[in-house]
Amino acid sequence: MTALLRAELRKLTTTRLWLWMLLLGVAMTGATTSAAIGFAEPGPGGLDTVAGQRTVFAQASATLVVVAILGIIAVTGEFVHQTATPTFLTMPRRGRVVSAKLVTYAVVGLAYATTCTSVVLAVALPWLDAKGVGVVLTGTDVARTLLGVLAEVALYAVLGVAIGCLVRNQIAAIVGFVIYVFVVGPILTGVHATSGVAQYLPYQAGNALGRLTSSEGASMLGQTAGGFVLLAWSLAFAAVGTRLAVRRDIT
Amino acid sequence: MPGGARDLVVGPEIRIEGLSKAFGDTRAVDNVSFTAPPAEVTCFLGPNGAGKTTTLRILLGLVEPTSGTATIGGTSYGDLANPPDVVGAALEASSFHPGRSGRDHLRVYCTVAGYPDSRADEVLEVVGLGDAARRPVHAYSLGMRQRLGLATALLGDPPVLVLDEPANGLDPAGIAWLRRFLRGLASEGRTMLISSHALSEVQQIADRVVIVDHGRLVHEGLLDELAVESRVHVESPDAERFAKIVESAGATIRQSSGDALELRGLPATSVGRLALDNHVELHALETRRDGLEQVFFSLTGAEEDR
Repeated sequence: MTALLRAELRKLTTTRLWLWMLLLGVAMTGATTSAAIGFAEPGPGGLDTVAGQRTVFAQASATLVVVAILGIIAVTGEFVHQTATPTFLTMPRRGRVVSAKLVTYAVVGLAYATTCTSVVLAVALPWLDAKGVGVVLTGTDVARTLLGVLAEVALYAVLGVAIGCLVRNQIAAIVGFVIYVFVVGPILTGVHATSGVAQYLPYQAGNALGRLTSSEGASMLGQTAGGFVLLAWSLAFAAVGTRLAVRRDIT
Repeated sequence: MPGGARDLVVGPEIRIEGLSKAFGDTRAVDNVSFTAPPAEVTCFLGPNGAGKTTTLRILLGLVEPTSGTATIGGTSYGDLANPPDVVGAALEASSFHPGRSGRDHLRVYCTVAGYPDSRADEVLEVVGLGDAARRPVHAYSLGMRQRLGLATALLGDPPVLVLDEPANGLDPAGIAWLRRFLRGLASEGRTMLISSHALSEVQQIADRVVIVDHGRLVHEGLLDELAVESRVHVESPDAERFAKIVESAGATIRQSSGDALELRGLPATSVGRLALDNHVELHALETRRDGLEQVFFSLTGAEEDR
């Protein structure tokens, strides 16, 4: 299994994609962190409040889109470039290849999130200091926010791999994911009638991990529960995807 | 490795038994059985779309058969402990990420199979891609991609090689290189199963031929058995009379037009003697052998389509 993990990491690092995606993640995180501080308004979510500062320190979650797409490409790219053939010739037990990708991209997601979290800190700490805003979060609060975002981003990378297994068509998988995260997820979570159910769907479960404060009125699981729900979705997608799509004939 | 001192390997036998595969209503492979023994080059022939690729992909565990079995030394591909140790396969001409170098492509699979990275450089040298090792695959020609596919197949120095249309996209020099290369691999005792739609590409290296058409087995046997009945071509102003003479001597006339006759069943020496004895004027007397292409077409019935 370690050989498969090293091979997956090698596949990622021997093309340029990882670098562009990391730069994209860093740029997005820098932008959203700047926006969270620069456009903050006084009030219940202001910079000097706990809720406001949690929002600022959770901005590395912007990179979840990037790592999820990376995870989708990790699987669908094998079919686009027909490398699925040598991959499954070398390791005919396809479930193990999928498992290796799930684990590898969890680690990759962590690495991206760690990098982007250092961007958040590098932007936020000096800026807040310059504004004369003291950090009101407790040490535990900061740790739970930062570690929660790490877990959220890592699990989104895993979710991406799982989506790629389920939907072998690369464009469809990426477009479907982006529409869910930016449109369907927020609507289901925000609408009162569906909010109770939506907290168990990947979008709001992910939010529970990194954003300890829910947006107004929306139901949200606790941090740990949210993490397990997001993980469960990924494993379910990967299991179903492996059975239905990855096991299909490679022609 | 070819050219180097290498102990003989005795490859296991490839055995296809009652293999069928249906894609919807189409029977791509229909009850095909054959074997590919070690130390011989078995050429798997048939027109495009005859079911060759599907058969090979079933053998390699990439496609699930509808019925039947395909084994390598009695074991199905998916049950081999570390398949690259036993079977090297090159299927489609380009199963590479365009942005990855040939060397990195090979190293990925070295990692999975447990071979040292240096093995990637060794096989690149073997197929003559040493200079292009660090270039991304999108800069490779089709012929170079075929060679990289071969290099991938050779990573484990396997006793069995399965190659699907390895000559596709090669120029004449490349095909000549490939023939020498494959001959060398076979002479080391490997089991080799090589598909092709063009008999002329493999005629010189094949020991055995397996011919399929429309998913069905048409012929299996030694290449020599396929042959190749000789005909005698005669030209004579007296062709009509001479036809009766050779027929009464036991020959069958295959075709005649004007002054030309083509007959079977008598060697050219006897035909010449008959002409002399009967004072028949000959303008031409020659032995002709059916080209393998013609045999191929007569077996597969593909000629009408051309």
